Amino acid sequence: MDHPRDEGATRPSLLLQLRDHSDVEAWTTFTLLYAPLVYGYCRKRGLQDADAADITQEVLRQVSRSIRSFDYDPRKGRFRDWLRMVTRRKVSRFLAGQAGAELSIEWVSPDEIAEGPADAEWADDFNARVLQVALEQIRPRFEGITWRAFERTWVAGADARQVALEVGMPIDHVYTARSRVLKHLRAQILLLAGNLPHLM
Amino acid sequence: MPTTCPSPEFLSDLLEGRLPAEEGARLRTHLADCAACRAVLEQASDDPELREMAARDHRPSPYWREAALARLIEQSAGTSLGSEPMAPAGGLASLGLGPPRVEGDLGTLGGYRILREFGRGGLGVVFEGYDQALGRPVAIKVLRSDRLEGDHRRQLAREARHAARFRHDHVVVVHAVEETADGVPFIVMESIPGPSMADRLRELGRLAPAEAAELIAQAADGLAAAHDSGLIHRDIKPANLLFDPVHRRIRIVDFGLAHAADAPGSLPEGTLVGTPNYMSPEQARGQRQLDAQADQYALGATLYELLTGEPPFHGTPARVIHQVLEVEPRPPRQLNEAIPRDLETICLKAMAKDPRRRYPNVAAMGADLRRWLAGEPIVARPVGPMGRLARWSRRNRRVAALTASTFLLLAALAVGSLFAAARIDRERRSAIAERIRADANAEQAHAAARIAAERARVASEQRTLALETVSTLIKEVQDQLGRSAGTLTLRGRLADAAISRLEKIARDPADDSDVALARVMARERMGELSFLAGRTSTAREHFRAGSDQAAALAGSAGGEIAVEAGRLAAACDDRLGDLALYSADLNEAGSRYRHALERREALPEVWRESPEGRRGRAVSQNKLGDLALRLGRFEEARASYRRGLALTETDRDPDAQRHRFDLRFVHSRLGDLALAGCDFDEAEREYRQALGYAEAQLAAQPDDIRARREVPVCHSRLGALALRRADPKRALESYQKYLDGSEALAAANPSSAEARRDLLVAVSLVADSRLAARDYPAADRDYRRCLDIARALSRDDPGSLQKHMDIDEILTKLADLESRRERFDQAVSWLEQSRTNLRETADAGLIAPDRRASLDTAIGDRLFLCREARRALGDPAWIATQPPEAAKGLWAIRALSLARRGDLRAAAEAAETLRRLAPDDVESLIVAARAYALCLDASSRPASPASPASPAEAAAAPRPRPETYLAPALDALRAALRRRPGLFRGDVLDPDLNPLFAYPEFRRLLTAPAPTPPG
Repeated sequence: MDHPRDEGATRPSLLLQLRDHSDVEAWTTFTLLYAPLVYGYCRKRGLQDADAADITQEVLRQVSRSIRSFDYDPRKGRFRDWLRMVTRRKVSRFLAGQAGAELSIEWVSPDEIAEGPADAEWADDFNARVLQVALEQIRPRFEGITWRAFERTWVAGADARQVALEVGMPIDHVYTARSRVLKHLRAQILLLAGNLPHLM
Repeated sequence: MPTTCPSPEFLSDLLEGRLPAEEGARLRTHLADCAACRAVLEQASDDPELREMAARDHRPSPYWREAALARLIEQSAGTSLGSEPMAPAGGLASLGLGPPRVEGDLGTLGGYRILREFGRGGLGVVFEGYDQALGRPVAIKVLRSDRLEGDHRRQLAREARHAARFRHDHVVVVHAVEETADGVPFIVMESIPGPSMADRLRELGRLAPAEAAELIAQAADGLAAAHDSGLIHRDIKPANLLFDPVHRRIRIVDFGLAHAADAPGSLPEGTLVGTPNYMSPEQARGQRQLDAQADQYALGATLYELLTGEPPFHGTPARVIHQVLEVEPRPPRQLNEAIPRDLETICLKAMAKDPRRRYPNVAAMGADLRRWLAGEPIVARPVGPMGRLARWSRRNRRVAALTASTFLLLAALAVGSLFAAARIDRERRSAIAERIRADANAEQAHAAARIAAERARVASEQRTLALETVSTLIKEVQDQLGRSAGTLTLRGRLADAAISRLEKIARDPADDSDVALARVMARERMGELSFLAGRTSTAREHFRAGSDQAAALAGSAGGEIAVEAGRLAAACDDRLGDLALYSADLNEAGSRYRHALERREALPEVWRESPEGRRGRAVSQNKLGDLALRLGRFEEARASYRRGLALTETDRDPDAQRHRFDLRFVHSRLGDLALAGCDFDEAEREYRQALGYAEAQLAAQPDDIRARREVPVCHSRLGALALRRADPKRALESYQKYLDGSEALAAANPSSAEARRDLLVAVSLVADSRLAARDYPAADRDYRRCLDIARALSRDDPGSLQKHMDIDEILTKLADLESRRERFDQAVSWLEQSRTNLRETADAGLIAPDRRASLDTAIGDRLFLCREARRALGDPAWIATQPPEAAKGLWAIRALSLARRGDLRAAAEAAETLRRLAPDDVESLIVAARAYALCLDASSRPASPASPASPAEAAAAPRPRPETYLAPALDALRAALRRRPGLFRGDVLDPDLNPLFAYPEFRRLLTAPAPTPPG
């Protein structure tokens, strides 16, 4: 029973679910989660809407292939970073091709995109997206009153005493509500992204 | 003043729900005063990593919204004619455009700005325009004057005006049909920015089958409605189906234009309007009077192309027309194996060359597509059971498949930004929070936080797995079970699959209150699934375990977990009570129902007084009322129902439908109660009130299955009332209304087992009232119909005891009916079928062996009586030689049959013997009373010469006066009542007793208060 814990291997994360070709639902969740992220990244790199959309499609297709063929190995690094790398490469390749055809080479250099402050921004966007989706997904698991208590104390940072009055629940319940929702949120994020900012 | 602060461990136990509720309550007062403890709890109930994720600005990328909108506008370039071959067009001037009033515009047309050209086709040019008067974007189609001459142009405008009057969710709205100063007609339409299906095909090659089916089903809805108002489209093709991203649905464009353009003489003879690819054979033959079936063909051809990515036929227009007329299209699956077979069947049926072999109309095609989408068998062709199961399980994938890219973009936009709004608020408050934190003992706070975080991490993975499975799976299964369609066998299998996964959760040994809650939830769901699938003993086991575990958890955990556990325990107890009630274990039912109520009453006030909480208590009260009613404790029942009603009436349930349903329910029950207490007028009032709610509900939701069911059900209660009042004629009227409603529902939902069972009940009640009116042939016919329905239901769900018992009940009724007609051989044959049914049921393991034996004996006894009935009628001396039990039954048959024949003296003698022989047997006493009542009835009408009774006797002795039979009848009933108090309340009496209703003594007997049973 007491096997050593292997975090990446045992977790039934979204990424692992994606390896099953037929898991349409996992794939939909995945797209919903990451398409806007990749798209936004492309636009920030100065791509036009149509090109950004094309690249988003391409990146997602690539991710799908890679995950299924085990190109992406959770033990080698965070999914977040890997996704960024795939996206960055696609964008660089696109810009290089376009530059060759129409623009002067100085307009943008792939190296410029590769490193630098963009990374922190990517991480923020990534986290924000995952958090948003996770919140939406766990919300139906809770009573309206529980959720309100959580939202008021944790998201809005309201004082627990005041929240207790507002939603009409004893103050100790406000804390347990908050604690319970956060546990679900944490678990859901692990499920979606396979990692938390500092976990891996 | 703060008392001693609890330890950090204590606080983290509180958060984990490991403290009993009283501890939490005690802590409450302390927490209100102690900022330090609050700070500790605040930190312990936080998650620093998540906090960090949330700490940043989470508004969606500014590019995102702009981009999505921009794309939608770009896609709008595909409106309607985008895929047409470009016709050599005259300059814009030839269209009668005025000079632009705004820089960058192409020009003006009437009161509309023309912004840019969308596309052009055979009939005209489409522009993106702007209605300056109303300030809205519009699409403007200018009909090209060079292609249309005077009269025809006007006809076209007329046709477009006709189309403009038609409105439907799936049809693009035509705002106006106008003319330029030069008399060029133009059509102003709603601007639908979405891509046309032709664009989608260009973009994706082909569509996922489920998406194609959904879109075509929507188009079919729009077309069907148009056909109903006499509009034929005549040019259905991918380019004319637009996806409306705002409402997320298909909109058909260009209604009626092709029709007008193709009117006699409008175009040179032989010119074909419409792309030949989607043209029906009849249209290709040049037939002018096209009907709706041509549109169905075109819709089928469109579906073909969406599925395969290719039009059904290729080549030059002439070649295509030849093929449309002569060649069968290649089956879609040859082009793409991934297309499901049934979808192919639907597509090819719609495209049949002979219009009569297509669906009868487009609505039928749409309905079949929806069936396919819902995973149900389609009508186009029968499918095997495996195929059905496969489709069933595919159901939940449908939504996923639908969320293909366009949908996805919008869905992503819809995920709101919870944090953006909250951020300002948070910043404002952070200063206060900081101050409180500074007050707290920092070290203590950190220690508690660490402990809590560590515990959370350890448990989180397992718990997630468990809860994730529970929440998604249960929802799925409930969704699927909730829909009325599908056979019960499938439901059973579905339930089994769900249960096997839930089992894993239920066995999770983790010692954590959240996991424990998941376990209880799993138990309760498993119980419910088994219950719904008719597996009562399994259901009982699950509910027992659920109730025990939930109760334990409610006691040991604190806070919210305790509350949820309490509610689950109550839910389990409710069901245990129901199950006990079904198996007539009234004591157990009572104790379970009371338990459930106590648990609900014990919830903290916030929940107890919430709409949910009040509704739960109302449910408890109603169930206790049901039980009391069953026990004949009318006052108690009334009190419970009244309490339930009070909770329901004052409750502002946000779900108005459910609220009306609850009110309907309680009034129905109060009616039942009044009926049982023989207060018929009161019963009528309550039932009418219930009917009022049901009718209001139906008016509010005319298409809701449940609402449609309620009204007939109320009529059935009025029927029961009439039957109880010995008024078979009114009973038949009411039951007939019930039956009509049930027939309609069953016809609308042919695959719904519930609807068919409802129909079964309705037919059998109609038959009962026919029996009461002594219309035996009609009753016979109806009972036989019941038998057919019951057998079919049981075939679909062989594992259900209830279905087997339904068959048995009908067979028993048929045997009883035949006995009344003295067709004993026929009765024997029904009873033999009943015995076979019983044995099969027992062999299937649905009846316990001991119960089987007693049921078998009972049928054997009845068989014996029917076989020997003739002898008993002819030879009373022989009866005396029989053992007492057999003699009782034989005398009963003799008494009833002779009374029916009109041989009153012999009948009365037999009844007398029966009373003497079995003075304590309630059943025999009632039979005797029935015989006397029949005699009373016969003696109160003029003797009929056609009577089969012995005419000699009738002539020899004057017939006794009716009252002669009243006293012994009442005596027998009183004796029965003494032995079983409350005997006549609630149940409908045998119609043989109806003649007694004319006598007040009898009515008093019925309403006599039930004396407390001795002992």
